[in-house]
Amino acid sequence: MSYNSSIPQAASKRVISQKQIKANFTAIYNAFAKNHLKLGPPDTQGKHNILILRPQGADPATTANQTAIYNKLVATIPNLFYRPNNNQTPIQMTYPSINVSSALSQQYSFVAGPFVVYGGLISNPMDGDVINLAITGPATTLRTVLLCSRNFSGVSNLPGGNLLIGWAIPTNIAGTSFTIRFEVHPGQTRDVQYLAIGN
Amino acid sequence: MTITPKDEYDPIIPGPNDFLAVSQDDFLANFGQLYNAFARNHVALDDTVLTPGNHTNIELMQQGKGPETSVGEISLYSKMVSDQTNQLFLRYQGGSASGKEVQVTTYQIYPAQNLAWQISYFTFLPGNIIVYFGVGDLPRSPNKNTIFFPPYVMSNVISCYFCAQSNNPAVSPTVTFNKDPFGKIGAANLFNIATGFSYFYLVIGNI
Repeated sequence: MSYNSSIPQAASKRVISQKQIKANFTAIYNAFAKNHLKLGPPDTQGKHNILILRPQGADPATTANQTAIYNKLVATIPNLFYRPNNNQTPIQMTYPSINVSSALSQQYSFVAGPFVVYGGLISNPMDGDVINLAITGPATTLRTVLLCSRNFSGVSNLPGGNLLIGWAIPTNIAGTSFTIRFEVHPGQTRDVQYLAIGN
Repeated sequence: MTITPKDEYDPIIPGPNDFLAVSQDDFLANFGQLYNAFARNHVALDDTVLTPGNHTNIELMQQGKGPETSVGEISLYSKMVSDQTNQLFLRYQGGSASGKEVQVTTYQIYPAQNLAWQISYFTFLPGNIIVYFGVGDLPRSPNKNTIFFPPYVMSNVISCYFCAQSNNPAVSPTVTFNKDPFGKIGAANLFNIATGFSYFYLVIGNI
């Protein structure tokens, strides 16, 4: 039976009220067990097992000494939000997906905002290769792209045996794509690590 | 205020034949237990300033596995991670299939090691990703080109970036990474560097 907040009534007979009161105590017990350690053991009752958050229709109000963590749908997908005190601007803490594994050469995670953080290794690219991060990750608008040459291999092409290394730079950044550029010298190869952030 | 009930909460009182004198004690005990249980992690039921029902903090007991979520729901919970400690996890919405589980925190069980030639920091990203950053004074480092990544727990480099503290544009390096005997990537060697400069670094990797 579900909880009844209108019992006992003043004119109810005790045989009726007994069942109603018992049903309420049982309903409270069962409801409290959701997300919490069950009522009973005095040392642990009241702590949380988990926190399942139902979606909120609007951002909750916060006072001067309150903050709020809650679930709000973004395009029908639930995401975790944090609202600072005094009704300051809510911050989306999660992104609807993530793809990480030490076996992946291209991965993405997220930071609050939300921003998607892309990272990966492009093996032995050619100058002018176009990299589209949306192929293996979500489509965003890239706000920064950082490249680093790794595992360079090549022969000397400067007097004195010094290597002229054409380090990689990103260009033509549009949407989730960028172009890798570097100076081309015969016999030189390198891998390129990228770190990109988009929203 | 702490109420001291005589027993644990009893969800099946009162009995049909209980006298009121018996039930009254049972009611007091249950209301006391409810009050005490609710006061943990929540604003107390009799608080006249704050709003009863709001949370004050959230203590999460370790779970063996992530809970199922329904459509529109998202869940947070704590779970033990091998070689770390209890970490915060997130499970995306479920439905026909179980929602994906994401490790949100990565416990900073190790302090950042102080190196004479390097200022080191680290933090994490969701997905059990570690982020190393700082600045290395390469002329003082081993072989004058090595940057270390303490704590040494990174198993795979996702990405990296190195930038000279210099007004010389021709100092962008290429890099190789070194694995220690335990298979962890603990350092990077920079090449094509201009001598005499420090380098900012940012490296992210899987633990």
